[in-house]
Amino acid sequence: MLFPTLSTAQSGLSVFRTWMDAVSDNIANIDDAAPTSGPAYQARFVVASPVGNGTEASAGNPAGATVSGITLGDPAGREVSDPTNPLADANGMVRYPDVDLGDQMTQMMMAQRGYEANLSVIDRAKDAYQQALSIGR
Amino acid sequence: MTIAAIGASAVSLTSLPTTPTLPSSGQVGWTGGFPDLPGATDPTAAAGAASGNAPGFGQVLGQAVDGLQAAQANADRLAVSAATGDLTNVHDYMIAATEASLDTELTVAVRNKAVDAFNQVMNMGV
Repeated sequence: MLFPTLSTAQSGLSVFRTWMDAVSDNIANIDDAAPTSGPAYQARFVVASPVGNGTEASAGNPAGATVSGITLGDPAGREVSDPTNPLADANGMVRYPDVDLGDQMTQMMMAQRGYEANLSVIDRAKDAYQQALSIGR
Repeated sequence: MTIAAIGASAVSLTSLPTTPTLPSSGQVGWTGGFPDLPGATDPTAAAGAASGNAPGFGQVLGQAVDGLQAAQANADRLAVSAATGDLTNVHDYMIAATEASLDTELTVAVRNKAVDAFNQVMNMGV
């Protein structure tokens, strides 16, 4: 890879975009009611990890972050008394996902800031490469 | 192919790829020698290595053009997927386009330097 910084920052962008996808999924499903006999919507958590063992950058190979998996939240969720809900059981309970909107909004801001930070890295790297190309011009 | 022609005419300029010798001219006034600078310590050794096993300048330029072609093909492929709605990551295309553009600039810069050097040699009064 001729411009390693770009591909490294690209992997970071992909991680943070996946995080934003997960957050939007969680927010979209925040009010999903489910019968108590079944599982509630399980919140998505993105697991990010470095590519390889982290020594790749010094060796000049492509490094960066990758989404190594998605873990799921508690299927039990929280039981809420809602007797008018057609999904309610004999006790009038339904299951709602254990997703906190405030927490999700905070995570979204973190994901957005991380995405922006990686974009800044790309911007600066591009400028640096271009300045290097103007040596002796 | 014109690139091959440039390469063939520049192959005789074996000193071209040995730009590592450049830093020695920048270290004016330093009398301690250059014991810690691999590649810049002994210009003759560097030149020997370049003419010994390193590929000729034409070959190097050919590889650079191949890399440039791959980068541009990648950017084109992503542009098509953007137009057809298959692009999952917007930044993938932007980075591929940036890489292709930087690659082009680099290749053009190297080619211009080589042609400059060739012309300077050709204009030498013998």
